[in-house]
Amino acid sequence: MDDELYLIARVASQWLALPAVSVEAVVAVRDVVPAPLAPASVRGLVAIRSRLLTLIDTALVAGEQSFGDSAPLMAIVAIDGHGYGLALDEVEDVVALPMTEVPARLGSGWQALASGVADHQDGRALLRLDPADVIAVLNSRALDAAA
Amino acid sequence: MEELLREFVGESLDMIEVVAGDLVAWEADPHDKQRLDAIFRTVHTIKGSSSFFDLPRVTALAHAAEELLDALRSGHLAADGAVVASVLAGFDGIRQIIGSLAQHGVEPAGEDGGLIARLADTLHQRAIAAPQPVSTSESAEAPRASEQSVVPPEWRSVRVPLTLLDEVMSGVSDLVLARNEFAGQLRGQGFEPESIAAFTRLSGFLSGVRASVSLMRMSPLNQLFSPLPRLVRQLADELGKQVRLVTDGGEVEIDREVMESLRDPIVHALRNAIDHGIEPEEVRRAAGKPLQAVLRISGRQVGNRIKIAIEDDGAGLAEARLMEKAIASGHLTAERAAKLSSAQIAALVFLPGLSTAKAVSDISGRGVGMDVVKANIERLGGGVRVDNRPGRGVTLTIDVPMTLTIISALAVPIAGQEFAIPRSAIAEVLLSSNESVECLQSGGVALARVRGNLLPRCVLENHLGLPVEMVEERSIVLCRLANGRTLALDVPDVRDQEELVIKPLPPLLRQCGTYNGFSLPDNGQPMLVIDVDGIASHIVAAADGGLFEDVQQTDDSIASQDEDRWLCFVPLGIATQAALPMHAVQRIVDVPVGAISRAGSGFVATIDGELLRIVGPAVALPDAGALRMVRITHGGMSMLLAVAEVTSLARLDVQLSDSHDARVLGVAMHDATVIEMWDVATLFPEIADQRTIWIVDGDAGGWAQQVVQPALERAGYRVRHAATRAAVTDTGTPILCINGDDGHARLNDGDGHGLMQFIHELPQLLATGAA
Repeated sequence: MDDELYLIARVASQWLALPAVSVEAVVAVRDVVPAPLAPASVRGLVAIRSRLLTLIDTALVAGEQSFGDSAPLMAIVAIDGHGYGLALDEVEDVVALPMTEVPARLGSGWQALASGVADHQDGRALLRLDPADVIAVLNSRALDAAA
Repeated sequence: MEELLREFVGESLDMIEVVAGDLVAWEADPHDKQRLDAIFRTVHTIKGSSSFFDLPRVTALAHAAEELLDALRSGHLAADGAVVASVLAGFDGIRQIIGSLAQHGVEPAGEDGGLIARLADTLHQRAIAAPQPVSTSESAEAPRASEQSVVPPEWRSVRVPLTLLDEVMSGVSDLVLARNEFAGQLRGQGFEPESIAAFTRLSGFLSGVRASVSLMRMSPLNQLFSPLPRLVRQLADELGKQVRLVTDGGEVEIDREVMESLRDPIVHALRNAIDHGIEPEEVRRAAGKPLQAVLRISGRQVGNRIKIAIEDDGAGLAEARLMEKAIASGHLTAERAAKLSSAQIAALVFLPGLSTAKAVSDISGRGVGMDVVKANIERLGGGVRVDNRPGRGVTLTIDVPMTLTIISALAVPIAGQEFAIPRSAIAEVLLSSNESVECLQSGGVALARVRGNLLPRCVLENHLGLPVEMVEERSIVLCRLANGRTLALDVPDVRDQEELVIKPLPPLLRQCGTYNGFSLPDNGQPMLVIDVDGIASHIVAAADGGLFEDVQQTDDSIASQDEDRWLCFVPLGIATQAALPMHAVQRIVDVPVGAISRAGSGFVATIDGELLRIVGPAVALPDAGALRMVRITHGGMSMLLAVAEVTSLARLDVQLSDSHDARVLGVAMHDATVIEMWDVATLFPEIADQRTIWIVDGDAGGWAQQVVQPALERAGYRVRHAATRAAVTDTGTPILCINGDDGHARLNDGDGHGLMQFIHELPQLLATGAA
């Protein structure tokens, strides 16, 4: 895989690399309006300027401890014409990284989400997280739940 | 047609402009095959449209240009300046003709032989000298002269992608939000009066802009209707029928997006009507109908919804065949079929795979469609119903929201956030203190009794899994469901909300079946739009037995409306339970004894200044207190029926018929209790006497019973049978003789036209007195 630009971010204790092209912006999470009856991974709705975003509890999707009401940041992404905010704990830089296949079966929910792994200079192994995969996994789970 | 032609003119002029530019760009980069393909497709489109509008000059020119482009595409022709120049000259010719068409409304007379020859020559000789002056054609010289003013100003329009409009719309919403923030600051800081005045002006302009942006999405229905006459004419010709299309209400405006999704359903309905609904000429002649059938399509606005009715004067739906098919395909059991009302039978056409057509035709295929039509319209938040008039035609009514993006809604505040309920779904809002509402709980289900009707009730907080708000007075929002039923939505409060711009939900939120959109109102706080039908379906799934067993029947195409539900009660002074069809019940009232007085041989009551006759009570009046009464209505008249108690609302099936008591239609069992099902008409002596007809017919079970009786009953008459004239027991009632002359009217076996005539003349016969 080519070196692509990635946004380095952390969810729970896991460091991630989000393709920079798919992230429109990273903003602080404020004024979340709940969406009752929505799947647990939907934290609620957020309005950023005149745009409505569905805030996704990224940690919960990956099987980590839920953000609860305390997600500090979110990455704004657009998937199939809908706007989502992916909750993040921390973001670092945008850097070019070489990606390789995931070498082993990953723990908890990351297996279904990660589409590669990058070896960072400082020794961290970053999981490649494509926002579209997060939404696709959620949608298929919601469908299963409905069925 | 004019509307469409106008659109074609605008579009083609734009397209020509674009492809001309593209062609020049392609010339610079001949390897860009995609661009060349796009140019070819555009020219092909223009050719297709022009032949649809019967513009032979445009078609011929476009055809010549297309052939040349095709040769370029396939590599048979090498691109050079001369080739591009001839194609461009062809484009100029087309533009000139269309420009003149825009001005005069018709394709100008003229001849383009020169231009076409030039294109063809280029194709065959692969090269041609510099542009030749084309002597015979006016169009070759004209472009330069009139290029600037080909389109008169009133035809000017700009086509803008809907996404761009949406962007403008959200930009305006942003402005509104910023304005609100600014207003807050102005108030806090105490600005000069001049600043306040300037701000107010700004605010006013902003509202105006917002309104105009909303209007940009609207178009008159005429755009949908205008191609229909041609379509109808073509179909009618193919099928050898004479059909006149009448359109009405074309000026009604509707969202473009909604209009686009109506196009197919309407065309489908028209095809169905012409192919299956309207009879062949010989049948029409035999039925005494005019040979030219009338197909009427009309649109009208009701609140923020648009109703489109498509009405034909054909044969109507064949009820028996519909039922046969529904039974054969397993949608219906024979027992159930026997109890369906006319409206329910007609609604069977919406079942998947049902068609009454005896023969498959290429016009409307084989029953593919009505279910799809229904599903598509429901996806828009609309509904469709069919009204069948056997022998006289069918009316299909499509009901859709005027716009998908802006709705008027009420806001419900719960737990610090607001939910929106679309106004279009709301029939009425009542305060819980209102005496016509009673909230109750029965069999684990929340119910509301509103004017005597028991409705399923949903406490919104419970449904959403939120704590119930403690308020002194709650609001009961009566919501109309897509299947015609009513849901009482029990909410802590409602606030007026203006128009909301609705955005589609992501699949994750759509999945929970409770919302059908979200919105960002002026206060900047996201708002979910409640899907009342979604909530109702949850409740129905949760309800288990009890009063609402009928509600569980979620198949609303068969599920009955009021006519299938019966109100069960114990009449005052009578030991057995009785039931009346719900459609005849207006409400349940408690009438103070003081308002009741004896009149003649019975009782009357005065309620709100209205004098109503009371059936019963068969016991002495109590000295004080009140009597519970069921207010019933039939044929425009109302009366009261005294009851000891109202026991339930249920779907009843006749298990025994009772021919001795005229008042009893049949006997049913419900919850191990015997219930007499009463015929409403018999409770109204005026009507019972007036609207009875005797049929004298020796052939029991023949045409009279199978055709004449149902037809009369559907028209609201009571029918009694006698084998001979002498067996008729009462006088003064019209007598219809089948194949005989000793009654007031005669019908010959199988004479459908005569039957219609008879029903038509019946009121007169009844008025003049049959005796």
